[in-house]
Amino acid sequence: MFFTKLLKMNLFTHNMLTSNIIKGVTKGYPLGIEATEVKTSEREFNPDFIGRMIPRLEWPAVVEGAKMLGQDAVPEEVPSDYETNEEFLKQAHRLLLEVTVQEGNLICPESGRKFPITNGIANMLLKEDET
Amino acid sequence: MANTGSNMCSENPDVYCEIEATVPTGFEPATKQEIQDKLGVSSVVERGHALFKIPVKDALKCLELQSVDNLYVVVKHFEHIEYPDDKDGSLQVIGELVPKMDYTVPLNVWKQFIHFDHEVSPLPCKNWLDQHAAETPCGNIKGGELELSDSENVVAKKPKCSEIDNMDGPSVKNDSTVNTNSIESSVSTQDAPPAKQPWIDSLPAFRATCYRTGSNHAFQSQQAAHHFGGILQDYFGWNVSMKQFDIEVVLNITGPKAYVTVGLTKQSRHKRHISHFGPTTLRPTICFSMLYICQIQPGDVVCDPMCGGGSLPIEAAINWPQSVHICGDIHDKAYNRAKMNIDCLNNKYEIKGKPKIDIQVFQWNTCSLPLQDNYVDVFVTDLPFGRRSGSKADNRKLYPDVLRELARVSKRSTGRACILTQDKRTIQRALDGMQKLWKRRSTFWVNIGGLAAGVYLIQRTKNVYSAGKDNRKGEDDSNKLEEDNSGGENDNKTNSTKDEEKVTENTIN
Repeated sequence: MFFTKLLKMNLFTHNMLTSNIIKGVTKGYPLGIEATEVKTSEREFNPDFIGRMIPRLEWPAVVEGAKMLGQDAVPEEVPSDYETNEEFLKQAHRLLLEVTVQEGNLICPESGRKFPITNGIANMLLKEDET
Repeated sequence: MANTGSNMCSENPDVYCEIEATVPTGFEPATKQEIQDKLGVSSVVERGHALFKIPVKDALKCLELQSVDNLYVVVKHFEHIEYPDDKDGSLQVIGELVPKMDYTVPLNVWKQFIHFDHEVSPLPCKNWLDQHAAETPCGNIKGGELELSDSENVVAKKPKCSEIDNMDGPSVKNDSTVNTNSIESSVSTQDAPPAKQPWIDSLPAFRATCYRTGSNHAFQSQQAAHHFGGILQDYFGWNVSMKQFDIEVVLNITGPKAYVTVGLTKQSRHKRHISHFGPTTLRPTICFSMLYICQIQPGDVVCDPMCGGGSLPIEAAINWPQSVHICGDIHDKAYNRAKMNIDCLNNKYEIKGKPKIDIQVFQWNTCSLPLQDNYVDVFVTDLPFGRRSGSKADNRKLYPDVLRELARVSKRSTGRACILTQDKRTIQRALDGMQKLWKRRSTFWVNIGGLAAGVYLIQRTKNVYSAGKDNRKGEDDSNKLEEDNSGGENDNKTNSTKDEEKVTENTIN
C-alpha cells in the first residue's frame, strides 16, 4: 500500500501531458481521465512550492480533470492573489498532489486512444503506426 | 611540544585538517564548486580528487558533499623523496616515512567518522620506542617538512599544527608515559615480528594500501604497501586485517611526491541511495555532479527521459526537493527498477522519519514524449552508450531524434540539458546539426567505469521548434525553424579540469 502511494498519476502531472505525439492529433490537450481507482493520501503542504507551480499550470485543465475525478469544491479560476491566498493554495494542493489515480486510463481527446495507468504509472508508449 | 594529546586537538577550534575527497574523474570542477558552496573553503583539484582544509570540529560536514566517492584525511605530504635504485633501498625509505608523521590530528578526525570502542593513541607503542631509543631517523628524504607552496602556507598559519608537523621521530620518544596501558600490554607479543601476532581487542585493525603513479620506481605498489604496513604495525602494534579493518592507511606515491592519508569512509559514498543496480546504473556521485552543473532552481521541472534504474531522478529529488521531478523509460525492466529504487529509499526514509521523495514515473518513448511544448526546464540524461545498451548504429538515428524531441519540450532560452554519453562522435554530429536549437555551454570529459565519456551541457536557444507535428518522425535533418538568428555556436569546450588554484590560507585568529 505504501509503495503505490508514491508513484502516482495526479492532476499536476496530468496538466503537463498531451497526446499530440499521436499522428494526426494536433492539440491533444487536456487528456481525459477515466479512473477506476482514485485515492486521496495526505501529503505535506508546501505553500511556496504550490505558489511557484500555479503560473505553470493550465488551470482550466485542472478544473476539467478534477471534475472527471469527481472532485467538488474546485475553484473555477485562479485568484489574482493566489500566492498569499492560503485557502486557495490548500485547495490547489489537495487537487494537484493528494488526489491520485491508481488504476484507469488517460484518453486522447481527439482520437480517443487510451493510455493505461497501472499501479500509478502511465504507459504513454505508442505503436509504430501511431507516430 | 609533542604532548599535544589527542583530546586537546578535538577541543581546540583552531586545528585544521586536510581532507582528500575522491571524485569521478572529470567532475573535479563540479566538486570544487560544491566544496566552495557547502563548506565555504576552496580546494585544490587534481585528477580524480580534491584536497581542502577545514577545522577538525567541522570534519563531519564533509559527509554532506554529494559528489565525492571516498573521503580521506591527509596525514602528511612529502614533496620530494629520493628513492635508491634498488628495490630494498626504496622500500626502506618508504618504511622510514612512518615515524616521521604525526597521527594526532588524522586520528582525531578518523574517530569522528568511524566508531571504535577504544581510544586509539597516535603515539608509537612501547616496543617500538624501546627498539628505536638509540637511533635517530636517518634516510634520504629531502622534503619531509612540507616544502612546497600549498602545504606550507597552511602549516605556517596554524601554530598548533606546525608544531605537530615538526615533531619527528626523536621527540616522540620522550612521550612513552602517554601510552595507554593497552599498548604496553601488547609489547610482550612484539618481540618476534614475523610470528603472527595475537589479536588485541582494544587496538584497532588496520590495513595499508598503496597507490603508485610514475615510472621511475624500483618497486611495485603492493610491495610498498606490504612494507609500509609492516612498519606501521611495528610502530603502533595495531592488528592487521585486510577486510575487517577500522583504519585504512593509504600511501599515495606520484613520482617523487608522496602523501599519506587515513580513510574516513568504509564504503564508497556512491552506494548511498541506490539499492537495485542495473546493467548501466550510473553512480549517484556522477548523477549529482551532472545535476549540479545544471544549476537547478526551486520550482524547475526536471526530467530524465531515459531514466533506467532511476539514479538521476532519485539523486535530483533528494537534493532538490523544491523542484518537480519526472522520469520515464521505454523498457519494462528499467522503469520497474526505478520504481523499486524509489520505493526502497522511501521505505528507508519512512523509518528515519524523513520526508519522502516525490518522482513521477512514466513508460514512454523518448522520441515522442507526451509532454507539452516549451515546458521542461532541465533535462538530465544518460544516453545509451551503444556498448552495453543499444548500438552505435542505433545511436546515429536515436541521438538526433532525442535532441529534437527534447528541444520541443524544453523551455525556450532558459531550458538546459545535461547529456552523458560515450558515443561522442554521434552526439557531436547531432549537436552540430542542431545549432539553431541547442547551444553548447560546456563539455566535461569523464571516466565512466573505464570508458571515456563526455558530459555535454547544452542550452536551448530562443528559436521556436516548428517541425510539422504530423510528420515529426519522417523529416530528417530538415527541421524548419522560424527565427534564424542563433548566432555562432558558443563552444566553451572542455572545462579545464586542472584549475591550479591555490588553497586559501586558513588564518587563525
